[in-house]
Amino acid sequence: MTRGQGESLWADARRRLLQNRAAVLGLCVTGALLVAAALTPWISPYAYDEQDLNLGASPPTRAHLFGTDSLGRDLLTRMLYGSRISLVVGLLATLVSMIIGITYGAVSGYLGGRWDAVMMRLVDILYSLPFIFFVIILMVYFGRNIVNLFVALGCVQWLTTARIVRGQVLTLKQKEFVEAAVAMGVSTPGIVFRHLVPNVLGPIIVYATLTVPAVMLEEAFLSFLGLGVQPPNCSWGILIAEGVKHMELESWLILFPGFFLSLTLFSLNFLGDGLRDALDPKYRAD
Amino acid sequence: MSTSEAEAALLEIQDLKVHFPLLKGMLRPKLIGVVKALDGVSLSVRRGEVLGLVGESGSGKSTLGRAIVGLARPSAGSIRFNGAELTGLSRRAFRPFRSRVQIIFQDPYSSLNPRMTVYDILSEPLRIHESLPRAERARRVAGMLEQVGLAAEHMARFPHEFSGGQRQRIAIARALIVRPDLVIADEPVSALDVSIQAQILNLLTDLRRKFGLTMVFISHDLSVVQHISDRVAVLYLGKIMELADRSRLYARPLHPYTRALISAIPSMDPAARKERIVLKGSIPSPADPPSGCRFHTRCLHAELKCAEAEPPIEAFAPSHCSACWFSSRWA
Amino acid sequence: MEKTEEKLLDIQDLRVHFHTRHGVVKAVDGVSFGLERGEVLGIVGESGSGKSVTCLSVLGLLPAPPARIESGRALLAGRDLLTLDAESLRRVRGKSISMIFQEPMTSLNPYLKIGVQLVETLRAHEAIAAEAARARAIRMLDRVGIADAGIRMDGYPHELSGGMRQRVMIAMALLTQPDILIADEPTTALDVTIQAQILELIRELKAEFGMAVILISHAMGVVAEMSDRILVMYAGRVVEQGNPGEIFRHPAHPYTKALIDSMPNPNASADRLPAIAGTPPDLARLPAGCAFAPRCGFARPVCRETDPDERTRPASETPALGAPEALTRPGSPTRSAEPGHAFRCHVDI
Repeated sequence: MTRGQGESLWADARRRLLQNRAAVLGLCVTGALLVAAALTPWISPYAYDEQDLNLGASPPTRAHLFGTDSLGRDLLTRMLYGSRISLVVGLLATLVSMIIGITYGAVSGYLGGRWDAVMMRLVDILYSLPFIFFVIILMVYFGRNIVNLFVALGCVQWLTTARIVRGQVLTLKQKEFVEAAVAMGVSTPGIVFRHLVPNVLGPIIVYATLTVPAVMLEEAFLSFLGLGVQPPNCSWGILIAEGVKHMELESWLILFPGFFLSLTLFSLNFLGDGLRDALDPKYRAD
Repeated sequence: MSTSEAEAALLEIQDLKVHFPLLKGMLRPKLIGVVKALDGVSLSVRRGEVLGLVGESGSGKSTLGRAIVGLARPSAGSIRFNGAELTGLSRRAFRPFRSRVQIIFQDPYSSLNPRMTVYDILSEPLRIHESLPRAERARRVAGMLEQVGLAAEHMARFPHEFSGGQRQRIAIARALIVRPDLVIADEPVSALDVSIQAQILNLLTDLRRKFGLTMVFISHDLSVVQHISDRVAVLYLGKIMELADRSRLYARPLHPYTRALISAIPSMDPAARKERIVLKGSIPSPADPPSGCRFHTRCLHAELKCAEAEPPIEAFAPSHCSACWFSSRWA
Repeated sequence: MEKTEEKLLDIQDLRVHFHTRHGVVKAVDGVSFGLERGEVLGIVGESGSGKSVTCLSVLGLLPAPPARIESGRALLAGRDLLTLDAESLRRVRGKSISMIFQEPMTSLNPYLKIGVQLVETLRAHEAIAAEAARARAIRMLDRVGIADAGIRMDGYPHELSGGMRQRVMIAMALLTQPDILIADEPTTALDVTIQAQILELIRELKAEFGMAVILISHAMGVVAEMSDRILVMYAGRVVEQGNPGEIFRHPAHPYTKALIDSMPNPNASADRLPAIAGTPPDLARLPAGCAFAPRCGFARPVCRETDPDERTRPASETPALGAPEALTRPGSPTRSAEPGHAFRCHVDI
């Protein structure tokens, strides 16, 4: 691809993305959350482990905009710090799962026949293992740290991606443009990555935006088991898990983290829909 | 066939068979049958000519084209291109021939990658087969686009921005940009509108002359084949029924199947209408072809002999062969 | 035109527009024609000419939105189909008018036995006992040339070849003995020899049941061989109509003429075909004047300014045809005079 054409393709996709109001809104919200997460040490009103045991659990006040938890820690501060871990885990684990899933699924679908049968049976077996069991093995084996956490989550999430991609590739490889590429002498990796993968991006991007919040919740579950983030560090997942425990009396503890997790989910979904349309040349405005 | 003609053959196919196993089961597949898509086809294509392949679906005409470009694996027989044997070659050893033999597909909506720009589509074969500086590559792409009646500024566009006819022009450009010797055109106008078909046929005629192309033109449409071909082979259930020069084949078909096909061409001209031969039934399954002559189950002239023994393909006139026990009746 | 009351189906000034993001697509833009009892009317045109949309809109089969019927009437025995409610239309479909499509596989439910689908269709339109319906379905399958009809009733569509499926579709369409059969590209997906069989079958059944047939196709040859009268459509309009012999020998519209000339022809030995330049117009951005003018070799300045009105060329002007069977086929009504040859063009070619 020459640079001129490449730029026009991406410039065009960007223009179409910016025309989509819902996608722009999603982009702005996601961007704001990422900026806030990045700037947390400078903008957070308190230190993340600062306690005020005298105050205890307090509803939102002028000093603590989102209230405090039972240890008197500022919820806004904890949410800001938590977003760093949640967003990083969500995005990186999704990225890992996409890379593995797309490659595995595309190769399996394209090779077909016996290869496909064996590769997909492996996926079935992994599916049938309780995912938590799998993650625990990975975490215990490689040590409990944040990098291993998202690798472990990504390693579990790729299964569905692989299945989606394989299904798409099975129909795509019947298309004559794939045969034309074979007849032209394009190598197998060339066919998989130049011809097949770009054509499955649409459904994959949408699925990826759904994976991010799912991974964030799984991280919460692992943390709850003591396998994820360790206190006093926290993530949104942990905050929600704690909030659920106190939601009858101290509802703000679930409302704020819950609201922001939903907001992230919606923003990513809108953004994902917008990206799918923007990257699909068929929607290119004439 | 005289020796001088044989020497001029660019492509020589001997007793080619393409059999597809019918498998059942995933991990340990069991063979439950064999689809004989091509079952012993011999023909040669001379340098510079257009050989038409006609037949119904299931006749094996597309499989023959796909075998020549290496998309279908021959089970037996030989394909010699310019004297070199193509069957049994490894992927790597086949690669140099990929640029010499190219294929144009029927459906221009599925033969172009929707995610690639016209430039990407046309430059890909160049990148594989010729190492050219970028500017030279862009120049070749622009030049080829003009040859097929498009403009250089179409390079940055995506396939869906073009009409069916224009897409087929892009597909033709992709096939010809590496300057192949032989082009397989597999139903290249069947998916196009009537008013566009003529444009594309003209384009193929022009390009053929300009580049000195040899072409195998596959179609179910006998009028189109008649227009463009020098010689025509009629296929039925993986075998050649009749092979002749164009004018002879259409004027004096020697095989009952060819006679039925020609009579079935719908005509606008009431005066040109001949009595129609309506064949009974449909083409049998290539997994279980009839005994003897494969056509005998539908043939209006079939006799006992036809079900028992398979007629050999015989020459009834110079460059006119037919595989029927009774061809001499019409000769 | 004065014999309106005799017509079985009378379409008057039909306009169907699609309201899309890219603008208003004028798929059908002022189409009028009549269909007489027992007649085969052929509609030819390229994709996007409006030939299918015309028939689908009459049967209320277009998705609305985006489709909208802007004007017109479609009178079937005096009733305007375009104003009927969904339930009345459903009764008309399949009972008075049946339709068969290009790809028979998509019109049959792959999960239901053929017999179940046939009996269901029949019982949706007639109060008939299941046993009697089954017997009639078997008779009809037998009639359309399906061997072992009784056994086939318990088979599934995928067990049949393309030609056989189209026969089943025809049987299903004819079960209720409709007055009109609309066949939309019935043979396009089929092989040449099977096409000949199906066309022969439609011709026989038409004579036997005395129904009228609207045959839609892009293939001039097929339409010419089958039809008593032909409409040529281009860009949502009927540009020419007349009987096949007249249209073939003396096409009055440049588009028809160019189309006939551009078909590969055994008699013309020329290397190059006289092709029509350009592509069919974008129906959302039709040019001013005649829609064919940009591609027309006869176009004059007036063609790019004003839309031509319909003109007629009386049949007497055209010499008698050598092949009388092209005019009256068995089963065709005998007409005292051939309908005139009508076309929409400023130019006399």
